Amino acid sequence: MLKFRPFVNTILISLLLLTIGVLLWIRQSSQPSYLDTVNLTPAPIPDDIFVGDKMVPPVPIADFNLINYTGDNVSNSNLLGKITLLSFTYTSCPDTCPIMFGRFLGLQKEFDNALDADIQLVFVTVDPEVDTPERLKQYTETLGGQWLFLTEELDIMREIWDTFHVYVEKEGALVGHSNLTYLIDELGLVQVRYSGLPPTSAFAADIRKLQEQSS
Amino acid sequence: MACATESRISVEDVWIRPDPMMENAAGYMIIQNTGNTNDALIGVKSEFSSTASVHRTVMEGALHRMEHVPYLEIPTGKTIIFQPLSYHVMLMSLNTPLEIGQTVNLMLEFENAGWISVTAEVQLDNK
Repeated sequence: MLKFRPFVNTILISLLLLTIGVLLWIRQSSQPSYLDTVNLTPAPIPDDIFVGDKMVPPVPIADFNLINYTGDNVSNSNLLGKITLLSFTYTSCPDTCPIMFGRFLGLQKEFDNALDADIQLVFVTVDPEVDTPERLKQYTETLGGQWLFLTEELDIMREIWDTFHVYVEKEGALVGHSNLTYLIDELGLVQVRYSGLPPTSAFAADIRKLQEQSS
Repeated sequence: MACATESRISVEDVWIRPDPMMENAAGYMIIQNTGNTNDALIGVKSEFSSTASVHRTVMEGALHRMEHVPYLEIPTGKTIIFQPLSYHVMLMSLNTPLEIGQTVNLMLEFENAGWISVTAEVQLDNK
């Protein structure tokens, strides 16, 4: 009889575990599922939707102090009172960056009279070791750019890139970097973020939307 | 009956875009393998730049970076499009300023088809 005891114990433990499993299953199935708790009715599209990613809530732009291609210092306070589109790029870039410069040139045409007065375009370099103010000046004037083009020492620029979540990796003359662009309102709040290279029309539409909201 | 293998490579719509500083340029084109054997682009040469190589822009989310492509396979029947944000010929350190509208020569080396000379138009954007 004793030699059957381990066998009986195994059966009893199995039955106990099975009972616990069944009880847990019954409890689980009596609760509402995740889908039951989700309202599947589409939410109405808000009037203020932007093409780019809306920052919720808007984030105040971090403090910075950089040098424009003109040699003037530009800080975050210089962005107040205007709508600013700020992007990251570099002048030696042969494939990707010319597209972004083209976008900003397109915006210059689109907002001809409003540029400087109400809207400003800002580039920040991701290659400060090459992009001196003199070089940025030559580049900007060659293209006929009406933007600010900002640079500084590498250590300072690293802080700026971190602030704007821009990853930068330099390999020889080329620089891999995050293509991020930010739309900042007149109060210095980052309202919209763009990833990649949206068309000029996307930037223009969002700038107008921000102008409407500000007025 | 054995069928002879033959590489037939056609290269069309070749254009290059210099940067505004006239230091570097990127070359774009359409390469098609119409032969009955696989081929590969293994080299590029130009007389108007210090170096020439095949690159590809890799996009990982918002991060854009370029990587060297020393061996670009072009299987039979396939078309490879070199265009902005994708494959391109990286022409670094231009020897001479290029003018929009002028034409320049590029030499492409294929594993089977050998060297092919193509004419590229200097443009700011693809027509």
